[in-house]
Amino acid sequence: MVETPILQMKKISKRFPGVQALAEVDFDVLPGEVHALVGQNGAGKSTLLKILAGIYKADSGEIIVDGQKATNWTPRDVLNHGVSFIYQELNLVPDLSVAQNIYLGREPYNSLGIIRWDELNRRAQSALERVNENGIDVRLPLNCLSVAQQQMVAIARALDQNPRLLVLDEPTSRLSREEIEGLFRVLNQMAERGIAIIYVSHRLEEVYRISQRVTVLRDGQRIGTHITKELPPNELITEIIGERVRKITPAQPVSAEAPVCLEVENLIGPKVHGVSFSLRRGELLGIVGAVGAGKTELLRYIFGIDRPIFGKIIVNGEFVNVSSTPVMISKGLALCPEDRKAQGLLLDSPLTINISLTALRSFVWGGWWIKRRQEKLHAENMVQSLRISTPTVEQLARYLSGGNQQKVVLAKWLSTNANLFIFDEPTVGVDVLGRVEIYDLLKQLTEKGAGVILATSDPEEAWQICSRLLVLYEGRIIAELNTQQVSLDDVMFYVMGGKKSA
Amino acid sequence: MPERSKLLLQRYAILSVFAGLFIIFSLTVTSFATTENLSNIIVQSSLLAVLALGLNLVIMAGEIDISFSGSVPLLASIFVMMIQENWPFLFALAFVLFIGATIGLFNALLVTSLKLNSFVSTVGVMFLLSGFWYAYTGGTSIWIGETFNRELIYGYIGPLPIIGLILIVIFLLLYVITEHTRFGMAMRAVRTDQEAARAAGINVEKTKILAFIGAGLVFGLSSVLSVARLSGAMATAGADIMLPTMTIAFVGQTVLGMGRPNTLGIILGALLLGMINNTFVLMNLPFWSVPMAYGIILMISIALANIGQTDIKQIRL
Repeated sequence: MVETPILQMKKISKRFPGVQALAEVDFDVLPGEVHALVGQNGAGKSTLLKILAGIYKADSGEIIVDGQKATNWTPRDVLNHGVSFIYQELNLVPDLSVAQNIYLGREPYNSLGIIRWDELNRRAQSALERVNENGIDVRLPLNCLSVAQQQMVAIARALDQNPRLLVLDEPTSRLSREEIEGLFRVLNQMAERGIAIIYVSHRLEEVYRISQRVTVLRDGQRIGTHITKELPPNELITEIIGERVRKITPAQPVSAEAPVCLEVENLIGPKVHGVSFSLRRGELLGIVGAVGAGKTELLRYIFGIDRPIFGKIIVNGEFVNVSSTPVMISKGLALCPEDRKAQGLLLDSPLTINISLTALRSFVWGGWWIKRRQEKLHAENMVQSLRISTPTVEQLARYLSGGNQQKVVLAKWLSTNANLFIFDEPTVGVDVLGRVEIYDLLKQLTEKGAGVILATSDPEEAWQICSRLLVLYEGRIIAELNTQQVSLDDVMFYVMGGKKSA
Repeated sequence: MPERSKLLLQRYAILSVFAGLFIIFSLTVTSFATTENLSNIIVQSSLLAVLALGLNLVIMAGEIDISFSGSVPLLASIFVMMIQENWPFLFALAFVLFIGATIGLFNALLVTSLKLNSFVSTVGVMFLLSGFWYAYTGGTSIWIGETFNRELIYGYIGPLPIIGLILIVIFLLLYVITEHTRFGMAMRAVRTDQEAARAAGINVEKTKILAFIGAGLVFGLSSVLSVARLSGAMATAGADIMLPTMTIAFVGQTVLGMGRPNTLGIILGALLLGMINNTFVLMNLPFWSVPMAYGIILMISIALANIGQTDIKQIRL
């Protein structure tokens, strides 16, 4: 290597209880280089970044800055060495002005300690001009700006501190195409001035557009570092996901005669740009997309939590014109949300109450007296048939494992007349055994004639068990795939925003 | 409701109530719009206004401090005892300010070091200080007597009430600190988003500690003002000041429609409540109408503050 890296990380290892998050990972970045860091969720990207930011301490390994070994790498050292971070959640203060945000903690002040607003505003304006943002009034509160403008404010602030290394974590997840172009222009200008850039992304296209080198992490290990333009996209994808074989039989494709139970027509809203699809009874449909692709927003529309700007939702042949969760439940919809701890379960209540909650009416005598014995019998039946592992039905939901909690949420919905199940990331935080059991349950539901949607950001999971897959990318369905006919690489390709002529 | 009218309502509603009441009172109550009465309103509002300015400092840093309800009576009685034992006025004042700041530091450490919730922990400190007050005074009011010239604070320079001038000086000082210094910006950042503040290199703990200490100093000063106002340290002083002060602090956030705690809003909030109190008495309205009016104003304020928030808050999946 000709140039000295600005920063080198050597044999970095980090262990969390139960997982080896990073195992002897090497990483370095050269002046004027854009170095992409890619990998699936859980591959170790964010752990590596947090070690770089001084938030986590590595168990072993070295960080070398300008050829010097850094012994105790703290957030202060990070600042002193000119490393700036721009996280997904921008870290700006919404009710301060644009200028106040750019100079927060660094405001110029006079001998009385009073901030010199004229100078502050002038300097903020020129900081924004450096990132090609001329049209922003720096005295406006930050929350008057679009997300893209806020992103530019964050970059302007980072640049104003004359960084030598800029780290961007998924900077484009909330930007439009034109805004991304603008960002790339700025990044290229910065690189030309010799600033090193670490660029974390899950979008293939961007990696090829912007980076000179790319490092792939998988399961906490560095799989490889390559000159980006010398690595074909399919090889990059293979490095990201590794060799995966189907271990589970996917659900049977549903026959074309099966009645349609859910139709979504041209749904439009923030982050969802015209989504149409249909689901048949007995079908296990996967909706797969990276974090931020619009999955959660789409499900919220379908379940009546938010109202879409435009579009139709037809349940069992009936057009539902209102956005109301109770109405959707009465039509037989059931949603097992992503954050089941907060939204799906009463953590400090026993299983009996959790299971009967949605169907209390069937255990009530005379309108007010809950028949606890029947409620308990029902819960015991559910625990048995779903094989929920718990000592008794009086156990508090809190003490169950992730997989078993998910089953309790499911039991809750099975107690109603639901025939259309939507699962949002049902296996997050669930161990391997629990996952297989959940997959079995999903398949059992379809065998009983229910329509099931599995929304997930894990392409492998969707590919393993669904019969049909919709790939969501930037709020649009960019591919409909028959899982029997495509490989996991193909799915991954689309999830990362790849385009193929059909 | 359309966005624009929501915003207008939020921005100007309390200010309109203030202006509207002022005009109505001027037209209907003959003795209202006289120099003497307006000066009276300022005199009557200033103690609560100063207290609320102190409380507002902590609120601006994203915390709350209820302990003043215990510290003000305690510091007041300490001040009275010191004056009675012929300590110089300035020495007694400095001592009370010092104790006030120390209590502020103690509150701050509970929040920043022990990570306690500031509402609950300062209620605890309030009870603790009330206990000290009982032990110190035996639970009775003490009069300061002739040794202390209350005209020093509640007198007039020409037509100008001295307490009004004191209020203006404290207001200007705190206004500059909260709106025009690095510390002020740091407080706003800390209140809105601690992580963002940290990312900008702001020392979140230090900011909070300074806010609590600043509030403690203001509470110390308030105790001296209350001694001058009541000619002694009253047994009921703590309970009497707590809720009106908090009401002013909350109403103050909405007066100027900034939707955030701010120093100027506190003054207007205090004057609004002072004006209602004063005029209801002039109008011979029954005594129970004053708390009712306070309650209505407070509810309107909270509702207005919420209009802005409900748009942001969404039910999460």
